[in-house]
Amino acid sequence: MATPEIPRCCPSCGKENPPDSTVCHFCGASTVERISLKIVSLGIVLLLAIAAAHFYLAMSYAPDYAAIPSLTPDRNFERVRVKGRVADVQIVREAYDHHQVRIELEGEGGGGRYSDNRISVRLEGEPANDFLSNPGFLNRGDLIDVAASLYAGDNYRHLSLSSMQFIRILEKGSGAPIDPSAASGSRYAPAAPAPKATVAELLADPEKFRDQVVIARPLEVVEVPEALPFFRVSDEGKPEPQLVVIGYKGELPAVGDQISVRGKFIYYEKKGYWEIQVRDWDKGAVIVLTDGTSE
Amino acid sequence: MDIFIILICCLAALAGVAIASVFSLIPGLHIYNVIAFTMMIAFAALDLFKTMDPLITTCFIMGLVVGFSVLFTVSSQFFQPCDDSYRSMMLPHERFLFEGRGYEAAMLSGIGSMFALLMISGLFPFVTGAIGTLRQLIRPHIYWILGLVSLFILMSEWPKDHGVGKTTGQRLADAWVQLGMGLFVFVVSGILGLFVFCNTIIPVDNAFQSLMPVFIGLFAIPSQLMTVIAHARIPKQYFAGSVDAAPQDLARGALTGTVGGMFSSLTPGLTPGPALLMSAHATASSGEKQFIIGGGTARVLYYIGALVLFFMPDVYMRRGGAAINISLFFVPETAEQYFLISGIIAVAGAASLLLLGRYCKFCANVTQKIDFRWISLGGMILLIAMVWYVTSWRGVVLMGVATALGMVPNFWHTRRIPLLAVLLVPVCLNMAGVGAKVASWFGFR
Repeated sequence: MATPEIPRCCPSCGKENPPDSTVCHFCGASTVERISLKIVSLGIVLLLAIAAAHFYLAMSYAPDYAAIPSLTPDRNFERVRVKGRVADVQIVREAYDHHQVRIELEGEGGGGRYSDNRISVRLEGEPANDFLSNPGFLNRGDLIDVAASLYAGDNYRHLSLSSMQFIRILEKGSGAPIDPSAASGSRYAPAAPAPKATVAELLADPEKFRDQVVIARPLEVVEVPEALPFFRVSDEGKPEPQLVVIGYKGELPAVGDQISVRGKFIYYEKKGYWEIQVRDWDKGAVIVLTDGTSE
Repeated sequence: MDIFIILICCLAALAGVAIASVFSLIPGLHIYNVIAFTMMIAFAALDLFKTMDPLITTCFIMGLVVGFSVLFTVSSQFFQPCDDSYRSMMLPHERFLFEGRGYEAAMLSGIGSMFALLMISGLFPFVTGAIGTLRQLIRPHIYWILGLVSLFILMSEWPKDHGVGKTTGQRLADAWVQLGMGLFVFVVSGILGLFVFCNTIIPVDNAFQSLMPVFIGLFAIPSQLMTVIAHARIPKQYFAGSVDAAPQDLARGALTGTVGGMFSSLTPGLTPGPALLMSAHATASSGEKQFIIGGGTARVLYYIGALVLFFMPDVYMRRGGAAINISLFFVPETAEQYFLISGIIAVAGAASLLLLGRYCKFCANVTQKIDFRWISLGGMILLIAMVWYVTSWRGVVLMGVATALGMVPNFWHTRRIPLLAVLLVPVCLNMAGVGAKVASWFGFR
């Protein structure tokens, strides 16, 4: 058996050793039992081969679409992927902070409004807002792919969508475009008339106004903390009692401004105080009052 | 999936690797800080950002993470040597550096990273179900697992000054000052962590970056300060064509790293450092070479493995800063996205490994031309500027407090690992359901 050739210079630190040293006299590294760095090149080739295989799988992947009639209560809460044509879109503005978009989806083969080949895809909150800010995104007749959670029970069945990313248009249809602004209800106003009250009135009997949309006026801004998303108000000319107004994304009023605030009167349990919560889409939530201004 | 989108994603990932290779030159900079910075730029140019397919941005971030996890230790190895007074607790790669073998150490670590990359891209797709099951099994037990990790950290501290005191009392005091300061650092870091988790002072718009000034203060700035005042001289480095390791070193190092990396990637609040220490005990790993290889494997499994869990069907676990940032604009859904991400990891990993050798040589040559102290000083100024930009003066104040705490291990020669209580303690308490109660004792709630 041939003995391995022992290098004079240490392959690790490069210093010269006495002849036949199997261990470097300077750094202690073995001069014979070593692994070539070509192993890294081998690893690179393997990684590229693995990448090619993954890309092939991604390209040839066929989604497992669930047939709409098969979405029955025994599959409740299941995450499903459905393909169908947009039959209709309804935009429901139920309350101050609720938008709901309902996309009526019809499976291949059609079947009409009340057939079991049709299901409602519902978007609420952020996905609904994203949908509404993209007019023209969907047309009636578009063939779409939807990944959503199924909610099904006695006499109800719909899909709930957690993000707009989960709607993919597979084929554009020739139907009429959907215009969110044409839907019923005003976009920037509460659904019901809001009671008017002062801060003192709100805090004197808070339960009476709990979770209601209220209009508080005339108020005076007493504090606008830097870099925090709220400001404090009191009744005009009275430093106390104060209320926090939170959630307003527009230009903040200055301390001393007389304002009117529209928002939901809620109890912030974590810190234990009442506040007016403003929705970011409500552009008229805070109005700076100049003489004679009315909201 | 369209070939065009795959190609664009590959290019985005390679751009991520290229940018990571530049940022990795700054010792102490963490990839999550770079991602946070990227996200701030992306949100500033929201209109442009919204027009892009979120998959492309995701692949860009994936490239950043892969490139960084393979390359970032190189600059720390070459540009942050410890002072002579720290030789007793010097890490293996520092000894290699002072023997002119920094390149070899970096390549050993790179081989460990290569094993992890092969595992994540080649093996993980076959075991998604098993990983999902493992996650479900671990989930209810995380609080006591983290409690045991904390106990391990405290129990594994040891006195490092070898009884130089003249009297028995002095020697006892010398020993217990180090042990005591380790305990002190653990407790105070835990309280700081509770404060940051419950009641941070960071402006609300960037409150999701609350941990950034704390981590930079605890770890990066003290390291750089110690480097700036160090008196070491880095010898000329030799570029070896092979590494001093036997096949069993590769196998055991990779095994240790795999256990540690998987442990840390599946356990919230745990980082690869303590996980690797524990796995080295569990697998009876021995020697510096196995430690360095294991470190490379564990680090890549922690950073990339944890992120890939976010895309994995059956798991979809949001773990770590990169996943949290990606989840701001992208929700993974389909198996084809997972295949794409696995392929992107392999491509970005291959590119990073291809860069590694030249990158090490570049860093080794830089140490001979530029004083490493200047590099650390520059890095420190950059980090402070970044903290100021992202989190305002409030973040700088928080960073200052964390830096003071981060310097304690340097003054009293304890390990820095108890500083990780900043994560371990609040996560452990929150998982146990008593986080809010304990925080209220300190007036944080």
